[in-house]
Amino acid sequence: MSAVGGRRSTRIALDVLTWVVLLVMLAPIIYLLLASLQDNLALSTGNFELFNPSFDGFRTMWSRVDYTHFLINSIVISAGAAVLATAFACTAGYALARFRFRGARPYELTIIGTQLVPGSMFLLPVFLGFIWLGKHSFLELQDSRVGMVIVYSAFFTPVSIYLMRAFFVAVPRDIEDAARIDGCTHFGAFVRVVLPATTPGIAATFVYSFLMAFDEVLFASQLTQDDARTLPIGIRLFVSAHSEQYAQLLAAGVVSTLPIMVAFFATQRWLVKGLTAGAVKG
Amino acid sequence: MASITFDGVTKEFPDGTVAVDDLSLDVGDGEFTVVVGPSGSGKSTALRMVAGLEAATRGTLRIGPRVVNDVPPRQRDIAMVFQSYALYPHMTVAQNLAFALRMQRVPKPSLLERLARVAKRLAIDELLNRRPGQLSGGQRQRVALGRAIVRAPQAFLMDEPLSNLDAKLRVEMRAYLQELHRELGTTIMYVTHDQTEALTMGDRVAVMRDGRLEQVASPQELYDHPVNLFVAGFIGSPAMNILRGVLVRHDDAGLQFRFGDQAIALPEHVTKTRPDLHQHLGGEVLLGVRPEAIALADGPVPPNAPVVELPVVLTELLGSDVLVHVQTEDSTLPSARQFDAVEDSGMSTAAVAAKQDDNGHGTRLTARLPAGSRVAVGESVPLVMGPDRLHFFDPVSFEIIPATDT
Repeated sequence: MSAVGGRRSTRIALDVLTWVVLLVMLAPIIYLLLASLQDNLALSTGNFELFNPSFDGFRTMWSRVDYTHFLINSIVISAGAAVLATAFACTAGYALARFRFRGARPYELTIIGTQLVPGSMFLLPVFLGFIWLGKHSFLELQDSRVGMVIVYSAFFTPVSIYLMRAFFVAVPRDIEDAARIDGCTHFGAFVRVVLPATTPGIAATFVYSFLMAFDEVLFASQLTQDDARTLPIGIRLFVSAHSEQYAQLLAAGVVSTLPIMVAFFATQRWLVKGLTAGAVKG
Repeated sequence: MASITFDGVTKEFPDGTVAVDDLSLDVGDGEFTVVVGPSGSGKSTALRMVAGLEAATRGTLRIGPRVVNDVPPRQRDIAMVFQSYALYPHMTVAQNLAFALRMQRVPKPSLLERLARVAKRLAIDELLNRRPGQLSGGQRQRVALGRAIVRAPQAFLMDEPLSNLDAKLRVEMRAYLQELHRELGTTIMYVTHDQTEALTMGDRVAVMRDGRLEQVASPQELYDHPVNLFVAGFIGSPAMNILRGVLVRHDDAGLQFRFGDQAIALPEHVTKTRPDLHQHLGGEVLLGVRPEAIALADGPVPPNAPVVELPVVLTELLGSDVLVHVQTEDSTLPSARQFDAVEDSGMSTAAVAAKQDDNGHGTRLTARLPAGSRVAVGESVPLVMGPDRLHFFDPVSFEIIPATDT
């Protein structure tokens, strides 16, 4: 075999490997999509009728469990947390990007340091804290949307700050100076010029925290019962001791994935930019 | 319109760097003043202090009669054009132009009218709905200018506004800016590191180095009568030739300047008008002569004219002129160490390097001669220096040894 041929076959082999890896990674999603189009019978026997799809699951899932309620909970909680996290990230990220204040570096390291502690370590303290607050104050955070918003925004703010800092660093200082000369206060320049100039960054940060909150299972499973139950917990109810509605479960899975897929693909370009900019300049 | 006055203004950064040191400078009402200097000379910091983007550590800064030390940028009624243009990336050209007027709550009809007039004047009226990202460099430059002009401010501050343009466009914009200034008559403080821009555009030019003001004068005055070696070397291209030599009394005829193996006779009126020169008799002195003050001596030269005869090492044709580089055979005088001193004095490295060949032997001289002058590399040519265009500098302080009648 010639050297050129050898290189060529290596390349083809690598290409094939890439596709195989991709296929393995996509397999659960493909399975989810295909299985959601089968009825319970096909699912229980394993005889999939790929060319005769059934939309039963999609049709009946809404009445079986209170899917709409879970969906609304998930959206409200995730959006609330994402709004808060992004807002904090805008102000904190700007300060880190622009001002050289005493302790800026330790502050930054602490933010990143919080990510080194496994999130599950916080579960018990938060759980007990919520119960304690419920007993000793008017704050009923257990099984409430507000409680979940607080928990999630606290969790996803650090990485959001890191993301936004990278976007603010990329905004030239000159345009802020220009805005101040053109009649803005420092804060006015931030609001009128810097923030609009980082719209993609804000969108990416919002989507990041939204996705993280939308997908979260552990805390949602322990801190919510009925009122604030979110989708990842809610869709497990399709399978209970009394009935096993796998078709509905899978359909609900697909429906739950769609909005975040759309959000991710709409903003993934900026997400990647924000993460890599942070990595390179950090 | 208003004047801009620096009165003993100092800017010291928290890390102890003194960017601007006791600057006193007056930019007259309606005047086009160019502040020029190498990077790190404090010229941009000075400009940013006028804008209010940096606070003066000491001294008083006035715009018109008003002391503005503690006035925030938005209340100074000045407009600034940045090197990076600093256009607002998320706004259209029209929104960029209108931004300051909207901040001033200018009524809409008047705003639109002013915007249209400026856009038309700068030929950007076709671009009003585009965003900065969709514009070429020259177009962005014009939008940045437009954004300043539309405000009709007290003064324009310009921070190297042309340095991001390509060479051809830069020359065009130079003329364009001067035209605009004549038309608007607004005070302009213009910062650049490019001495050509300074000479061509400024009514007056202020030369800065290391935070200090070296000289303020009209371009012609600056060119003809630099006050020290730094200004002499910084202004003019190619740079002024600087020769380090010894001043000796030749005979009754007068003084001679000796460098390397050469001796230049100095006409009597040259030495007579410079009484301080006699203090350097028998000692070192620096002689400066611009390349265009050197001519080919192909006819009879008057006695005692400053003439050197040196071999040509390089010629550069510029079209209408030819730059002829000649070199002394050997020179013990301009040792590398002495040239370090010249460099320390702030002369640009290029100017110094041009005076020495690679080995540090010999002194190089550049003459600007008419194209077609009969010179050939390797041949010796007689060169005569214009006696009235010689500059003498103190070898220690690098200050000019002044002539009385000029």
